[in-house]
Amino acid sequence: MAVAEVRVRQEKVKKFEEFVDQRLKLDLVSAIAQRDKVFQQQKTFLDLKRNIENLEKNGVTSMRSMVNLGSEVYMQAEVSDTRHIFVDIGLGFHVEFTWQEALQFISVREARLARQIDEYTHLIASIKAQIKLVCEGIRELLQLPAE
Amino acid sequence: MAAAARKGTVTPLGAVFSPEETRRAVARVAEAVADRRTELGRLQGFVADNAALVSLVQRLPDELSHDIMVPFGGAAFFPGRLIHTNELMVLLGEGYYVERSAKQTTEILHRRGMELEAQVEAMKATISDLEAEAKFFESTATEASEGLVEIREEYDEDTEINSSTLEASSSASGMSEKEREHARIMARLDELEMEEKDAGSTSEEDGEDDADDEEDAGPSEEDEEEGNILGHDNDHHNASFGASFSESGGNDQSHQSAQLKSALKKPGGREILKGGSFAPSASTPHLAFPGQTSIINSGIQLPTKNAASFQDENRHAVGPSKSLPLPQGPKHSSSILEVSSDSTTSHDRKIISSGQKAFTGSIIEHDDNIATLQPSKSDALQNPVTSSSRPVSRFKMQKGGR
Repeated sequence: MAVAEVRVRQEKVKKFEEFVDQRLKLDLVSAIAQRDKVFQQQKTFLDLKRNIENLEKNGVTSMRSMVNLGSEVYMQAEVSDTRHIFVDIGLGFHVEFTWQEALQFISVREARLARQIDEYTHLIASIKAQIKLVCEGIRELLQLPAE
Repeated sequence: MAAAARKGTVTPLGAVFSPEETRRAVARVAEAVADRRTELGRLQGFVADNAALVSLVQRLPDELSHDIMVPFGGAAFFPGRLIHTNELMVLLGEGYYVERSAKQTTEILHRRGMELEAQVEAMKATISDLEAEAKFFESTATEASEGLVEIREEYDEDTEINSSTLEASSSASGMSEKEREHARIMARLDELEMEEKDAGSTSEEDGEDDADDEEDAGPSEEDEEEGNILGHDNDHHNASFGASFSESGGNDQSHQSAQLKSALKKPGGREILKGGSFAPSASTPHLAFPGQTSIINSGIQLPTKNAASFQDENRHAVGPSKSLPLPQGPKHSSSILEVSSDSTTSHDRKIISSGQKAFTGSIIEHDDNIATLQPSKSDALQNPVTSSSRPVSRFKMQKGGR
């Protein structure tokens, strides 16, 4: 009787542990990776905003830069007209904006990215909570004292 | 032989390598191979990138400027153009850049490409190594599952020597022992004969017939020359020399050769005694026995007799055949064939044949042993010594037979 009960309990503990290891932890890792990607995007758009504001402030109409050809080999490039800028709007599309239009788009985009980050943060928190819950369940099954 | 059965151990391969473990090993190696393959793919990607960049760098200076979209941060572009198309900044590593022309840049990239190729080759070699390992594991697994067994016999030099000396001393001591030995040898001979019959091709049987005929002729001639010289000597020597070799019938050749080597060192004066005319005999282990050397010396003074001295070896070899009637015939056939075929005689041939017989000659009293010796010993000797086709073919036949 008691032996069977112990075995059932052990089976349950094993199942819980498998769920934590093979499901929840993997979900957590992928969610964190996705959130990091969004953080990256947010940073690039933040940089772009700052750069455009700089151009605006200094009234730059032409500039020179270095273009990476690959394998860290650079060549000089010249931009004769900086008033028009092509911005990545996602899915490989680029739209030609003026500086003002670009700044508007970037603010919209930043808001959206911030919302995405919030979502991912919540997702991560809930996964962590689930992991904690299952761990508590295992502790109860093993009748260990609470910490 | 009985000794082998006593010492040998038989282990089923399945017991040593459990099928499960080998399967796991195969899986692990396969995993390693997969890892290496992805790494190889990465490297090959680098190689392709490098080649593309080389062609790009070579093409760019063709024009003064190129219209491009100039990246501005990670997410934006300006329409612009490349200028100064023959000036490139190349990263050397650790944050150091150097300004190079297109041609110089191409050279740098070529050198990088060669390095990458070397890495790719190394990776391929590693993969092939791992694959060979995997194949080995797989074959081991299948062999184990098929119930293959491993037969192992330890070779312990000390025990071998002990047993051999024991045998020798005992055989030298008593006549009854000798008779027993004789009986044993006869049994062995019969056994060998049976083996030969089983394996015998028609050609071999022909050879044996010839051998028998000539055996009769051979000894008689040699006897005239040599019989008296050696006849009496044999009697004292076998006790001492035969003893050292008595074990040879059943034991490892390596052991024998070791003994031979040690024996070779003993007689300091031997070479002097024999002189230049004996040079070919260096290959004949016969010389290893100082006692016999002295016999030859005393008996044969003339250089022309050298051939005779070799013949006496033959005679020894043949001699036993008198006491051991038929079964021995076939065993001797190869060497005797040679001797008798040109009993008109060229010396070299005889030397060669004596080389084959060298061991049999040295085993003087142990006529019985010769028989057992013959198949193993003379074969091994024939191989290096003989140039004539006959013994070689016979060697092959015997090998096949066994």
